[in-house]
Amino acid sequence: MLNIGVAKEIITPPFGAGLIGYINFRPVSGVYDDLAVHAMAMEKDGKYTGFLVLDLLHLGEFMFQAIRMGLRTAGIDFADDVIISATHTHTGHQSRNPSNLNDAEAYACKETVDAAVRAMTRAVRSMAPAELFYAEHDENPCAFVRRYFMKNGKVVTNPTRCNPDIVGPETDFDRHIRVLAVKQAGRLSALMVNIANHCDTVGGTLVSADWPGRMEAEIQYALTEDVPVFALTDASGNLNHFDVHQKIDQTNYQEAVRIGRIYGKIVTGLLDQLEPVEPGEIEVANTTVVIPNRKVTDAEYAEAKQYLEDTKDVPKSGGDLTSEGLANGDVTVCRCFAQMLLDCRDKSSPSRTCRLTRVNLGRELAFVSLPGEPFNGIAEAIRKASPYKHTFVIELAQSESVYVPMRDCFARGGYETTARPNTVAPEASDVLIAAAVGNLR
Amino acid sequence: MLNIGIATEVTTPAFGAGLAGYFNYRPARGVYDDICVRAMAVEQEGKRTGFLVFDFGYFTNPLITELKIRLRAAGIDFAEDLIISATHSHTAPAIDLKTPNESESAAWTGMIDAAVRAMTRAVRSMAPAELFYAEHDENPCAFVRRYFMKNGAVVTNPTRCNPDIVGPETDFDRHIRVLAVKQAGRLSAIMVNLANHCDTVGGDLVSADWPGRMEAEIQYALTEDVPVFTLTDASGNINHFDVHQKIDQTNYREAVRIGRIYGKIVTGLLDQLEPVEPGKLEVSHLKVEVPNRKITPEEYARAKQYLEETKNAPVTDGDLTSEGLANGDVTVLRYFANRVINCAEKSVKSRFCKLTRVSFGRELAFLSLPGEPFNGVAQAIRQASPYRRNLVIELAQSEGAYVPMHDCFARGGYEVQPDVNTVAPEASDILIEASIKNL
Repeated sequence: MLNIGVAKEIITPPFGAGLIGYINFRPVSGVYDDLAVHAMAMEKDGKYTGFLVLDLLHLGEFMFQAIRMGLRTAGIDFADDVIISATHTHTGHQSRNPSNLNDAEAYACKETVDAAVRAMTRAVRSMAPAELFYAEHDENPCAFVRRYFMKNGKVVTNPTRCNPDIVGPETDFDRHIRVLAVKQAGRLSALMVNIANHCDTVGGTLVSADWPGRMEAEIQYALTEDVPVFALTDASGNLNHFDVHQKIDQTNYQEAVRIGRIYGKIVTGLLDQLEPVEPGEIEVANTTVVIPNRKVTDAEYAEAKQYLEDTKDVPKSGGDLTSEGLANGDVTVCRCFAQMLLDCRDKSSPSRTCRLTRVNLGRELAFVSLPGEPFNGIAEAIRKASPYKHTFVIELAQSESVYVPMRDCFARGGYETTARPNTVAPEASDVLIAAAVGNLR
Repeated sequence: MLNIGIATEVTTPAFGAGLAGYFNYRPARGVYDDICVRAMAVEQEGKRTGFLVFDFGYFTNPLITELKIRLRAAGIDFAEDLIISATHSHTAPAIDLKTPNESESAAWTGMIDAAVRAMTRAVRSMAPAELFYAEHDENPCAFVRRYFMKNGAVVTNPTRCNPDIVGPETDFDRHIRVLAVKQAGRLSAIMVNLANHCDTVGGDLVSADWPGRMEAEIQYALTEDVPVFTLTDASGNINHFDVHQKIDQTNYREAVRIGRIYGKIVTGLLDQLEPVEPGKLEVSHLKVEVPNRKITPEEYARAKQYLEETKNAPVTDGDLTSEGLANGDVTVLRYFANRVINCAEKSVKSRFCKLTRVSFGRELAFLSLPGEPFNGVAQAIRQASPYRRNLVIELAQSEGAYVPMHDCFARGGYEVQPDVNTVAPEASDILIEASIKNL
């Protein structure tokens, strides 16, 4: 018999904590909607696993370690078999660099770890017999490939809206929205939604869980119950919500509400189409993969140095500094990237070791973790090789990492392939796919 | 300048924790909606106060004491000047069990931990704030629950459409009062002061009842997680049962319905908000000795006799509530007979309760009341109040019980039934007098 427990805790940071995801510092000045950690504990025939999904941009290695240690201290002896992931909200608090936290950020990080432990502890205490159900939708109306071929043959990330030089998207992506529903005593008690989209819709200095939070709000309002919704972000490194054909502001909270409502309605619509999933034996396979880091050539290094010298007197831009500035040629942003290229050569380690986890319930269902922000093609390759009927791929999980573009993308340019400290080498995607596929069996 | 900080934390218990509010034991086996504690920290010219509102049935004095110790330990040096209140949800954990299981102990400590976290984060998030007020003069979901019957007695929650009902025992203050907090031009919190008993759901699934659904309705309409502080007005003789509707009115859908109605009223009021000029922040406490009930030898003998006569009666299934008293349910009547005996044997003479007033000049006052006072207690206080707007908060600051109006004791009904440390008939007069003194 399968047993499941679920719980949710709030991790909204206090005012003053820096929100992370952009180049500029953005101290919290208010709250649109609360951040949360969602916990699910799962047991079958004495084997335990679980999920912790945090409304954060990502988790630094210190956060992964602190959560696992906290879980073990609290008696959660399957801590190493829990998949820990982030939704990638860009309006959550700094949680990556432990040596550079202000007082509010340090407080928020500690509270986040404690909340994750509390949530999992309560989930374990609340375990009860459960049934699983699955449905999927084959269209993702709010996600777009964000890398576009331009007339000059290059690829630009997030080109200006309605740019006449846009030829077309660099690739297509897996548009499926996959939903796993948990029912207990005949009642819906949790939803897992596996969907590919970048979670950077809101901007500014007000805390928000972005569209995953609004998706949950939409679903809960429709169901009139606080059914926790676990947003398992599929590989989305080359995706976001920007529709380049719409010349309107697409970075604001109302856009997150709009997207959350659309996804929420899709998910609630799927609840009539749920099919039972017969859960086989729970298996958890953990492995590590060594992902090679980027090497900067002498020519690239010299060019960056020269750019910094040439633009040293240019006044700084105001407002949020994002990847869009790179496409727009914003000098402040371009200078940041030039400096990061120098840092890539001066400060990068040769590689990064990441944890990969597969949780499967027989051959019916598998959850596959990926570190960082892999391009969607990586998830597609893994699913193609997967022997499981339903495969949920979860990015930003288990280990700190960065963008993992497909090998061919490096020659074409774009934001994700820019050199920064410990960014990955072109062969990283191949290495990651091979390791993840190897861990499927 | 007024500074305010706000935070919410989840207090949902784990499965297995007994839910409070009925006579039978109901361990939680699921969750309709999360229960929370909401914290608001308020500061003006160095003076601090605040509010902690729990989606809980009630408080015990040991819990309040422990909570204040923990708040002070966390650096909240104005812990004594907070108003701590409960919404009275009957689908939240019981906190006074003699031999708590693991989930119940965790719920008890978890509630305190969550409150400390919430208030700490609220203090850390303080920022300049403005206050706004509006009120609605109708409460469409609340009804006086004590009815005169044709035999002259008063019955609480009589059977629906009972032909013997003559009419409600009294009327009540139907105003729904809303205080809105805005920061940097944005709505950041709402306080709603309304009278209704928070016992709509029943069963063994956790729920914040209609206050939770009211917040959900407001937040959905606003598309933001604006915390809604439900400050329950004096509601000891009020609940949501409409005796003219012969339908099941105890279920989660009813809580959703009521929450949506209140939510729409509150969001409708947001267009009518008027600024409140916050005068000087003052906090005043007063300790009142509320006398407890005395059982006569005749009452004692009658209860003993009833228990003897019905000792072989089969036990009723399902939730055992005050409705059983009106319906003559033997299991419920035996429960109340035992309470008479306990009242005689175990009650202390009186109970000391803390009354708190938080006021801003003459524009606005928050007034705490212990336990579940009848609505007439709040009406008397408001009538005597020199403040322009008065938010009266029941189930606040101290452990308490029903506080019926003096005249009600002779008429009967559930709320005047004796139990350990239930109040004496003169309690309402004493509570009103002390509250007015503290104004």
